[in-house]
Amino acid sequence: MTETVLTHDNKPSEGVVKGRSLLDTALLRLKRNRAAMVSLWVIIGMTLAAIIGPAVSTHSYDEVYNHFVGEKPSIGAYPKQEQITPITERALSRARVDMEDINISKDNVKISVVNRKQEPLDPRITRYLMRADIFQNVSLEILKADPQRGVISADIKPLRFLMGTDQNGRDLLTRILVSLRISLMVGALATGVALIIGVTYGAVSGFVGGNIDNLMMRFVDLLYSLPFVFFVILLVVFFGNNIFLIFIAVGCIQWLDMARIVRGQTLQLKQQEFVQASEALGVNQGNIIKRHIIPNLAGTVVVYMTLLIPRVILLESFLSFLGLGVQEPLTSLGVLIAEGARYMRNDPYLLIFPALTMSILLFALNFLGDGLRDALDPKDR
Amino acid sequence: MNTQTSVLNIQDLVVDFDTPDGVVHAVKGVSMAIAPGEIVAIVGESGSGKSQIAMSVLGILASNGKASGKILFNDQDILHLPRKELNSIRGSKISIIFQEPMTSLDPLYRVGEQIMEPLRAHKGLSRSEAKKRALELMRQVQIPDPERRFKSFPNEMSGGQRQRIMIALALANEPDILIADEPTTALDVTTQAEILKLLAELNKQLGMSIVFITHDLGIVEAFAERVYVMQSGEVKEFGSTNAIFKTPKTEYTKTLLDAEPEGAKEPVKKTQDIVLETEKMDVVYGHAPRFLQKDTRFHAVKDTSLRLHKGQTIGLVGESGSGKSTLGRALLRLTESTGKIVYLGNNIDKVPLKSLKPLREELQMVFQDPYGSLSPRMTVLNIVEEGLQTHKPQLSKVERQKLSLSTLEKVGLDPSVRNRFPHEFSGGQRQRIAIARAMVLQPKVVVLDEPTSALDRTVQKEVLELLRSLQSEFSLSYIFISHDLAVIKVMADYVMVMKNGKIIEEGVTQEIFERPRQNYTKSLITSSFNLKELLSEV
Amino acid sequence: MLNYAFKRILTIIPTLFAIITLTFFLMRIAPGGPFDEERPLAPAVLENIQASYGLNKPLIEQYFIYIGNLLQGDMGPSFVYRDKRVHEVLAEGLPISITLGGTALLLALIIGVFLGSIAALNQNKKTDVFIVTFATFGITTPNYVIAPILTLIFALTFSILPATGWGSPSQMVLPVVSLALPQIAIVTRLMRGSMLEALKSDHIRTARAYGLPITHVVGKHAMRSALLPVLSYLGPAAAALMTGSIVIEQIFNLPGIGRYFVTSALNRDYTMVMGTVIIVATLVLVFNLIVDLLYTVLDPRVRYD
Repeated sequence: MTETVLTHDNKPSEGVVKGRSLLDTALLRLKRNRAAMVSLWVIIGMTLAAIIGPAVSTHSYDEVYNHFVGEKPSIGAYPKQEQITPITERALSRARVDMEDINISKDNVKISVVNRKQEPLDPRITRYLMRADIFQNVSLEILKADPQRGVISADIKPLRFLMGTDQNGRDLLTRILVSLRISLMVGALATGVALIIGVTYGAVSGFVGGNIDNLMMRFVDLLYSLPFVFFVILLVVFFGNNIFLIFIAVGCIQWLDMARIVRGQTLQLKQQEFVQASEALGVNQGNIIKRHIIPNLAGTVVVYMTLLIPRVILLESFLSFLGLGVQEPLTSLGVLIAEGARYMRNDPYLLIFPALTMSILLFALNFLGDGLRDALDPKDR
Repeated sequence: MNTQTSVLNIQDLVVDFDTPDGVVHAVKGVSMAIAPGEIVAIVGESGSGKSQIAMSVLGILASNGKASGKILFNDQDILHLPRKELNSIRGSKISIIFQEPMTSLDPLYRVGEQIMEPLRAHKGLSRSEAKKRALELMRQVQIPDPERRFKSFPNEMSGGQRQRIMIALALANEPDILIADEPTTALDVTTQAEILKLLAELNKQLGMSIVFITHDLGIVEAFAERVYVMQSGEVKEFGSTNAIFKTPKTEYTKTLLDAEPEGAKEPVKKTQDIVLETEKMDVVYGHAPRFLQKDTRFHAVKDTSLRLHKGQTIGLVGESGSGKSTLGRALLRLTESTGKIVYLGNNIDKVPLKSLKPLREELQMVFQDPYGSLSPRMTVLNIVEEGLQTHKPQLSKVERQKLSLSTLEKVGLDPSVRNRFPHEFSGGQRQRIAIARAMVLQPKVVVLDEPTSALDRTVQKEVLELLRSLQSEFSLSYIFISHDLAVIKVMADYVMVMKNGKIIEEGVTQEIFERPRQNYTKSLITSSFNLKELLSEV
Repeated sequence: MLNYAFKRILTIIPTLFAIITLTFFLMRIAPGGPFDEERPLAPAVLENIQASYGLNKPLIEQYFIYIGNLLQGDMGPSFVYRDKRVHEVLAEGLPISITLGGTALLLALIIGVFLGSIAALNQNKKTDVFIVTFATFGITTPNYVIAPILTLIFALTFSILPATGWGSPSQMVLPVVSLALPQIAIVTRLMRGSMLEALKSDHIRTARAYGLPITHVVGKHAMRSALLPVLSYLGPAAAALMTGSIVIEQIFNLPGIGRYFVTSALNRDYTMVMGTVIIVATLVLVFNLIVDLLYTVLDPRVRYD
């Protein structure tokens, strides 16, 4: 045998040919799937928004604007013209001064005030106006002729609530961004927990096989027949209400499916001739798992992971909906939706915006998962 | 050919598949004509497009396939018929049997029920009429005890019986044309002979045309009156079987005809060292009856003794399920067994599995499936050097690569392909990689488990050549496991015939093939080499 | 077959027993007790109450007493609903939960199988894209979003259906639909996948090659293969649905058993927690058994003994 067999494209051999791995092929296929690519960008966008958003936002997620409770979503700035006078009056009455006249221009107000007591005005009354959320650069000019009177000049601080405010007067957009952060964090961390436990458990069970496999799978069956809510409650009871606990609790529930899938795959792989070939070569079990089992499991695991993340997010929001999840003032999509449902009759936007955010996120994750599955498993197209 | 005299006339058929990686042209303008009552073979290697012609005729191309051209059945173009009209022809006037009788029948319904379906759909028979006819058909295809078998599910039958059921299904409405797409490829040789005989008989009795699609020239020669030779979607040559076999006109046909395995191996001298020896080996799967569990014991290998000399090739031959692969694996202690195994004078049957590592270097195995035996996520180089990493950790990375690449060259692969992945190679090339993986460790004994069974004949010939040259270069000893007697005959110098886990006959190759003693061996040999005589009895 | 069924029933008992034991001790290890209140009770009073419930005995003894009572069909007194036994409380709510869940399941099965098959038969066409989008929407929108939105539309805005309560058929519509929608979506997707797989199989090719009518090819051959994966999903799903949906019961104010899951654990109503766990576990095990038995009937390749 001296002839040299070339690869099928029959190119002459010039140096080393670069191979195209299954992963390269899969990525190429994924790039052609428009729904999956759009979803990928949506997810990237939402992740960035969740990370940067709350820091960039002019509001803090727990900042309460007493004057703007349950404001409707609007692109325009608050306070509206007609809101300024009442807010000012309230602030001034706390300062125990009366308003004689108010002159509102586009971004500035001039207020003539008079002290209720027969005393000169205290310059510190400006603080009361500062506290009213809507003013900045407040200055008081006391009339020299009559120190009991003065003119307050203040710039109006424009506040924008693009998605309105909730029943406590907090900016909904900021709260959604924060809850998106929580949801994604839960999604990533809980999936990670489920992944580690599930893959290890499943791979060991499948690879060792025999009676141990039997026993391990019986245990999984047993856990399947337990109501998980009970477990989460127990965990919450044990360790108090902690957000990391939710990650772990959710992860602990979701590993079961992963373990089953990985075990099935491992059993199948063990029957593959390339694994038997390695055994025949005398490769030890650790290396067989490392070189042959795990790389071939990777595809399945990645696909399952993208489908697990939305489920985990749903679970967390479900727990939060029941009041078992994250606690005030921190929030999550489930909490926001639960609140929204309560006030939907008058303020439907409180329900619509969080629900929409959740749907878009989960939609994108699902489409990406489907796309990945198709890309990695072309026979399923 | 005149359209008047042909029942099926295919004109300029083109079949394209739209795949994610571009359009694949499977059939590129094929024309053929089938006369009433004749047996025509379409022969070609895998990927030649021969099956797609059958699929186009019956309108069952995969959903991404598109056929154009003309397919005239009794002068009616059936390629572009609407489904309803096509349904009145397929299964009634034209029917088909497939390669995989297991998956081609619905596993969830009883076989009797499935035979009744085309009867009821096309002839509008009542249930009882259809059942009567179905039983009649089952008798016709020689199913024993048809009343009982009528109620069986496909998985309760053997491969041969399932194929008979498929044939009964195909004959149900007495078609004018029966297309047989590799109908015997998945069957054992003796079963293959029986099925071919049945088809020949039915052709005589019923006078239908048979289009026989196959890669096996032996069958073509014995069975068909005319042949179309196909290669990469085109008909290369056609004519009467005699003419094609005696005076092939094209190079391709010549290569195909030359691809029959040839040569012979001289027996080794008795004085040669014994490398591997086993005595009274038994392999039992499953467990004894336990609480609430049935006896699942299955005796895969029974009381087997074997002696392999240096440079020898023992051919282990038998039909599927005879235990030959299990024996091969047990010899290397890849499967638990009882009985003595001696390697180079040392007892290795009691050595704990963990201490076997040094032996693994010298005892190697090559598997049948060139698609399954290479890890899909490793490069060729990684696959070949895995054994070196395990057994020669003292080698530097560069040394290891050098050794691996020279082995790749030795098995006939360009070392420049080292970074490619298995799926980028053809079947024969993959098998070369698998051989390189075994050879890089310079083993003394190699168990070859059906190493060429999944390959086309022309490729098989090259791989057999390669195995031969490696054997003489390194004085290797082979255990060559195969169901294919033609391969065993040319590769082995000593043959052992296995049936139901037992060696029923053994001896020097020439002896066994010329003077078989056991009836089973005789029938194996007749079915493999004397198909023509067997079928001429019809 | 009977032999197998018998064997499976035998394995249910130890599993159930293990679950009961595990839950019992896990719950008791957890800090807190049923009589922790905002203002702690006087030690003497507390001791009195505990004694009346037998909580002062050693844990192991309590366990055996509980098992003993359970074997006689008594789940013990509820710590919260003080004048009732746990099984009485659950017996009141269970029929409601089962009716609700069962109807939703039936709806999910019929509509899901239908939509999934239609989608598969029109793979990558407009109908398919539409159904897949709908199904994805159903999966990604939890029922506590669907339920309020449906209420908003049908009860509050148009006043066609009542928003809460239980008893009349019209009161069933909104909860059943809210509960069923995500399930319909899941079954649709499952069915679409398995139907596609089935349509690609060799025996369907045979059926087509033999000119069988398309209704026959799909309705008889492909359908049966495709239903098998759906069936294995339905087992656990049935158990989950019939043990009551906490969310749906809360939103529509229904007297099912779902609410006890959360409240009983939060209140450390020990016996009630045990009762809910036993009911869920039993239903899961029984439904899995039914699914496995149906499998042996539907798929002759599966032989368990």
